Amino acid sequence: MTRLLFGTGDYIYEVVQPFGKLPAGMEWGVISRVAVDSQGRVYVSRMGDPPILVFDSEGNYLAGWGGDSLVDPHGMLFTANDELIVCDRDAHQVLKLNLEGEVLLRIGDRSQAHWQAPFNHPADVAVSSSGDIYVADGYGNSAVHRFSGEGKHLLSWGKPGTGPGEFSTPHGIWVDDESRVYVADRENSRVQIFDEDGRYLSEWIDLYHPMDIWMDGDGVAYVSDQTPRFSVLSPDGELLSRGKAPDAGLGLYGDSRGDLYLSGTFPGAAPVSNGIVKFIRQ
Amino acid sequence: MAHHEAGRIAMTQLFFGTGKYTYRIIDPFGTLPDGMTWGNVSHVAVDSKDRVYAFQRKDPPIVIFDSDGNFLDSWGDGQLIDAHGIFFTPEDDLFLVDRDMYEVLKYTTQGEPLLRIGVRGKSALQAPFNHPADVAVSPSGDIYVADGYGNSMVHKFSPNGELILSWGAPGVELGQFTTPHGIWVDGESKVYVADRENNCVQVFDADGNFITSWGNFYHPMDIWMDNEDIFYVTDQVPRFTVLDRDGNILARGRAPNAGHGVYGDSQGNLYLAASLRGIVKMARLQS
Repeated sequence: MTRLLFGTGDYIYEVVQPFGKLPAGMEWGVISRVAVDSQGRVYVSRMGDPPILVFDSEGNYLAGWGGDSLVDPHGMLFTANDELIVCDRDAHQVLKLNLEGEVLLRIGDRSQAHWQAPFNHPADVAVSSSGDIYVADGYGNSAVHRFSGEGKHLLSWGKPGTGPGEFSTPHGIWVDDESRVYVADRENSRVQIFDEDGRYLSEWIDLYHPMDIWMDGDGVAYVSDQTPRFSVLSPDGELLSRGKAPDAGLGLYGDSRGDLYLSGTFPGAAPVSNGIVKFIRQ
Repeated sequence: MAHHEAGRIAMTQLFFGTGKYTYRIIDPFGTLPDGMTWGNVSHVAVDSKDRVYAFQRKDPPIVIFDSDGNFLDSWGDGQLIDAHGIFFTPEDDLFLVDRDMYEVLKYTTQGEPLLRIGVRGKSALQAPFNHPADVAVSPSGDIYVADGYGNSMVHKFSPNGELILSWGAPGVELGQFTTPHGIWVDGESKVYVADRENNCVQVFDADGNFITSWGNFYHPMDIWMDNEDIFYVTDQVPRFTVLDRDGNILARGRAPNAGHGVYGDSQGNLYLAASLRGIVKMARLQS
């Protein structure tokens, strides 16, 4: 097959599409996000049972779990200790699980939404270097909530709107090493940047309905949007690279090698309408 | 108008558009040979003899019909990976955009390659190309490329493919682009760019100076202009809009779940690219 190379400059990737081989008889269903643990294993969240699918970096299926604890897993990330923190969107909860799928912590009232308080269809979660948990909330609310590592609610900010510090759909979130909070404010077509106390610092506007954000160890940000495309931005927001996201681009996560994984669900798109795409850094 | 055609089941006829620009919907258009199925048809174009060329993301990438939908020919196996924009010059030179391979190619109607612009498989940030979307040629033969998904620019090339000029940057201001997705050049070499996610068609002179912008679109995708300088724009509502050269709306209708690409023939008929459904023909009613 023809080798496809996407991206520019120092950030060029070979496109592996589709990534991941499902066991016989299993279908992808509706895929949400992707995350990578410290061993380079790839975790896919989806509506379906099992809701979490695990692959090795070659795409071989390793395990599936979470059917007892998760209904609608959406945004997720791994802590440095390989704990998986995941938003259970339609159950209005954020859960922390270990690699075997055991629930270690639950935040929020299960299946009970709250207006402008945790949670109303939360979309994504991030963790600071000090262990605080930040949640982009989300589809029903227009707020960011900050919790301690034990799940104690510390702070919330944001309201519906288009001005600084207001959100339409806070859909993706990341926290950098200096505890700056990056929020992909989807329908406002921007990433807003805050300090850890929720004070607005700046924003990146050269994005169309940004979906997800991931940062590598150098503080370089990778943002997927609904063009669909991916953008690589320096810590100052300078555009370093950009390319098309191939029929995907809802969720984005990277591994320690610099490879990226994108998840997507695009009914009617072809040739792959649903699945994972791997970008191998050249 | 005949309600029955020999050998066909009588079906309800659909008429889309308004006033002088009313069309009978023929969906699907075109009969494929036995064993051939549609891939994702990105765009469609019509040559000087009113033959219809579908450009699809599958081999064969080019599939050709007469105006009644009879299959004539196909070509291009293995040469075009990711079909996107398409354009015919009055001399029937065919320009094609291979989006994911970062190339713009010129072919004869028989599929002989004449010119390649870009470095195949190699992209560049804010330089030719990063997933280019569409191509158009001016009366003097200059080649204009809307670039595209990764870049936010228009590039102008000489007829032999030398870069003359580029303009545009990412952004939402006039003269900036988010996704320059469709492009056309009129008889005075004015350049019309469908700036998809910025919801407008921006108009420039041949040197890239901003002239004006037409709003009132939702994610415009493609532009075609007829020989009376009437513009046809498809958007993601999905609908089609007919405009005069000053941007006044003359007619509008629903694009039947199609319109990633639009092109017309010498009789005023329109053809829409309809992804996995192939092609939809909009046969203009003669008044």
